[in-house]
Amino acid sequence: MTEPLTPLAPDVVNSFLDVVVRYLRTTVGLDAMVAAIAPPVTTHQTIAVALDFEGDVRGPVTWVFPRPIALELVRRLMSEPDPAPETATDGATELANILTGRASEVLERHGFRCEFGVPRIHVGDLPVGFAVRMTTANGPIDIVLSMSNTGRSGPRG
Amino acid sequence: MPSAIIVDDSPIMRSQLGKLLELAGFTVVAQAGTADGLLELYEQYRPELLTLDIVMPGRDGATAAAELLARYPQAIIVICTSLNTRDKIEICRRAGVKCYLLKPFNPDYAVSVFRRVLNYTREIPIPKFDDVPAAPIARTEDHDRMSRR
Repeated sequence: MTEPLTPLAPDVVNSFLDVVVRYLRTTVGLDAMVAAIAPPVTTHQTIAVALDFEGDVRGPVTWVFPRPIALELVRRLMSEPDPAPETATDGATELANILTGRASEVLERHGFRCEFGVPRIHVGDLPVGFAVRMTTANGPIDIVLSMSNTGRSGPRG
Repeated sequence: MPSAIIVDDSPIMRSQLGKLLELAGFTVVAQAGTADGLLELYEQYRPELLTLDIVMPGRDGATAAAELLARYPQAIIVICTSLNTRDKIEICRRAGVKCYLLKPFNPDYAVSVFRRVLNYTREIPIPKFDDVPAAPIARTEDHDRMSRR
């Protein structure tokens, strides 16, 4: 039998985004602000990374990072002042991994049992979902939350 | 010099961990991007320390840690992950993982954790698996503390 799928509740999304803002500051030293609920934009200067959730919450979260932000993570992790441009992809996937991992604590706190998979570079049109733009000093970060709640679990009390 | 193995699918994370482990006094003898060959890697090198990510292609790090520790309970594993969910931490704790280090970690703190593991292996007899008390594993909430049992 197919389980009903419902979008994540606004309070879950807001908590998720709060954690993202916190860990953008920790990982790449950026102050980010939610600027718009808007369609994301990908260009040759951005890298899109998706991670797929399974369990009570299913579907991908897709991150679109400007290359300078991805390189900033490489710079910080490798103590390399001038990292090679081709390392931006590694930086983007690790940043997506860290942000998703830390933000997934929010899903657990809301009663969802779920896991996410290995980050993958996303090419092509971005999936449909709740799209959020965060502004930072190094360019905007777009996040597309395409996850749904399966209804097997959910917010406690 | 004590040896260490790094298992993490991120090349930049392996690079960072390699530098931090060397600062802590370890020689990194092997690195891998998956935990699929963890047992063989351990048997080949018998390192004093293993760092292990959880979300990786193939077998996840928590499962691999449990399998390795079931066979070699003296192995010292530090989980290095961004995943901070109760289920995974509980699997690791029950398996006998010594520390759960959350990414992003403070480099100085990570070095101090690795040094403490080093001292632990040198100065304190390794308890048998069954002797390890069921104390809750420490979460290193950014710069918290490691679990020493």
